[in-house]
Amino acid sequence: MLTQLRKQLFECRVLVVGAGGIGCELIKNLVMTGFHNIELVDLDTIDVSNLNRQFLFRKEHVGQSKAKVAKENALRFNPDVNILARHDSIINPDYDVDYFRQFTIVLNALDNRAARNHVNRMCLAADVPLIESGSAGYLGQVTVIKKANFLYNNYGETECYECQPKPTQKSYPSCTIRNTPTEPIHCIVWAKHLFNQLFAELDEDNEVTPDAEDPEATDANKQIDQGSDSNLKISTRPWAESVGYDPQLLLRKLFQDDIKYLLKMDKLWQKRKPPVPLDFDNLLEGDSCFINDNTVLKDQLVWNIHECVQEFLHSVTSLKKRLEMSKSYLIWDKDDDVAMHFVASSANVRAHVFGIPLKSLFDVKSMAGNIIPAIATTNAIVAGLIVTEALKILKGRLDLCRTVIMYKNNLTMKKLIIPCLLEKPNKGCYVCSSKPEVCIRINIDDITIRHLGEEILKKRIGMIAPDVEVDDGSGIILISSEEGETEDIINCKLSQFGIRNGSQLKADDFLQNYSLKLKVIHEYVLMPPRLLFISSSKLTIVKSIIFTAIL
Amino acid sequence: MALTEDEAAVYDRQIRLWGVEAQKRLRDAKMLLVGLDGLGAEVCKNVVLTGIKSLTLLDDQCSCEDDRMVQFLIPPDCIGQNRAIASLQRAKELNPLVEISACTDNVDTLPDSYFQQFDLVCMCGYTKNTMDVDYVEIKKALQVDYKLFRPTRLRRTSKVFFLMKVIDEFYQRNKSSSTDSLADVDNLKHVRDELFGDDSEKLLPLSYLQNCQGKLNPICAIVGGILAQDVIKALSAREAPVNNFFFYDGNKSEGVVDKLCL
Repeated sequence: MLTQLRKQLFECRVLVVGAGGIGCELIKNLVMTGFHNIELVDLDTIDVSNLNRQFLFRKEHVGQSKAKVAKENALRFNPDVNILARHDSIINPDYDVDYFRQFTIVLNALDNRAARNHVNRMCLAADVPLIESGSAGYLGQVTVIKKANFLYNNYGETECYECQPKPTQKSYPSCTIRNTPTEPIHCIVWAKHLFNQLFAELDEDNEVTPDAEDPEATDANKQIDQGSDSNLKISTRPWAESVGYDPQLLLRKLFQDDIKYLLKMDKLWQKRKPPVPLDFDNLLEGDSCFINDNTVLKDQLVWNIHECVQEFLHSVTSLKKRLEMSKSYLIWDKDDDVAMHFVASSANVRAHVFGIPLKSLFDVKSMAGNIIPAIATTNAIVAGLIVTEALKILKGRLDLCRTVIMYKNNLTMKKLIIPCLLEKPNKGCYVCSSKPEVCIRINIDDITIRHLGEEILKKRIGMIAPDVEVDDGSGIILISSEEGETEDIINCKLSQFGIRNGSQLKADDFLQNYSLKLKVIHEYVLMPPRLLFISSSKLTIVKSIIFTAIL
Repeated sequence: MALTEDEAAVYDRQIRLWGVEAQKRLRDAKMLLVGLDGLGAEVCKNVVLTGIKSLTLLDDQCSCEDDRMVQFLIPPDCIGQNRAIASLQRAKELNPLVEISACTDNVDTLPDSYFQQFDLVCMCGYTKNTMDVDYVEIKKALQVDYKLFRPTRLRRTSKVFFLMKVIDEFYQRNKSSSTDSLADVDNLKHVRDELFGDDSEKLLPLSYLQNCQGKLNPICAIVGGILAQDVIKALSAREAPVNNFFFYDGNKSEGVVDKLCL
């Protein structure tokens, strides 16, 4: 290797974000290649399902910090390397622009878009080159993101991570989930919401009780005698608390009383197959699902309805105990066995009620946990590609850098690893363009300040702690990142602050060093499910993003 | 036999990709890995993580300074020891469900019956003369006469193929296979010009000869990943392996599959 490059490797400082599948391989490659100063950040702990690929971890490490164990193990490759491991979220405000600026290069080995968006912005603000990566099954991708910089021979203005809108996660209309499920996934989403309603931090959205305001049922709705259904007026959590989380009573309410109430909205069932409330006296013992077939895992067997009900009762009992012990609330996690049994059993009982095919625990886990299959080889290759791109950047040869895509081998394709030229930035990008701007299509009489902050600016736009003011010279502050300053107006509608069609808002995120202008387009027709469009104001409609906002 | 709960938990994320049947076939597979260089270490790691029945590491050579930059299974203070033996401990730590053993014999001295106990043999870092002990076809494929290629075919052929031919020829003449001996680019250029004549620079630009010394860990990771994936494909009998060569060009970040045959 060239002596000069060796010296650069020794002197440069590298930040690795993520010590998971790609991260473990990456750290090994960096240490072996001769990188000498490495900082590693990961907030996650080790799970047994990581062990098929995250080779720096062993069974006895389960539950420990990924960053810390990865560091200890990587030092065995070369004890002289400086590795600083942080068991922390990269979104923590301690990691500000100055923090990012100390690195020669930042390498992303992340598994979620929120963190990728954030690191993208921090690297743009700090003007540090970023290598972004990802893998899914046999597929992998690596790309280089670098703000324009004259040091690199005026070459090197690349697309940023957010230049092209990414497909948003699929969401389902609230009434499909609450009233009229037709597919297993609808029941699974409902079951996850149910977990949160019962055991997690209180969430006013994502209610699971029948929705009497379903537009499809509005006429019928009026005829319902609400007096006898007083249960429905209380949301799920207080009701469950009032009966001490009695599993039998919960079962009866969710799968019998609520279903009977739904049946009263007869308009819903004119063209649909109506649900059948759970019949407690005739729960078919049925065939046990146990079959002596060793080509199937135990979790891949589908429970019969009797087993579903038993699983439901058991899991509610254990979760109730856990809730009492914790003194606060529980967090849903796909790798938590009891929580997973709860979701699978309640989803399946609901599916049974609605005549939808039941799913095995194994399949429910895939869907509920959005599990992306992951194998060692793909991650090893992706991590190798990251380091080859990093070496090009260190050599000052950004012109040689590529987006590298890894495909699955098939008979028609001759290339498994394909280089593509880096794209130029999107001039209308709402993150990296010189004056970022977006249009939001919302109903100003309907959207609250809280919704603007939480759903639009944080979840959708990816800000961490936004400050928002009306951009008309009045200086009205809608949202302040200082705690408590705008707490009192958080439930007010936007129209109460003189915001009209065509108004402009200015949103700033101090941490990300990011300022965004929002143009409001009032859509008074937006009704549930409320569709909300966000688009870069300089882009055509093709690139606009549609998503459902549930208030 | 069904997969145990333990196996189902550890291999969950890959069973979701290739299914229980494939995982069971992998679990029954016995493999021999010959050559524990940087590439061998990567293949070893990937295959052991995947969960085969047993893996035998075969290598009669001792690790050298070169291995320090690529062979992560050998602890730094064990450089100088036999590569198979020195790799054994860390290979075992990768996955306690796999039986791993080491053998220090020279691959050329082992009888055919030795190889028959394995479902698959994988060789890393050997020249074509050793390989033809087991696979005569590889030698033939490498002797393919590129002059018979049509011009379009020639353009498509990876430069790495021609580089491989040069290095192979160079090793033959010098009766050595140490990467250190490649340091003198003029020697390599001489071999290249003799092999390819007037087409030399077109088939294999000089820059490739300047960049083929030493071994780079990320390149081992990439090629080792593709190679291990092919091992897995073969052992799990799920799909056809690469047909029949894979070339990776780090300058271009390009990996191509090429069918070379007589």
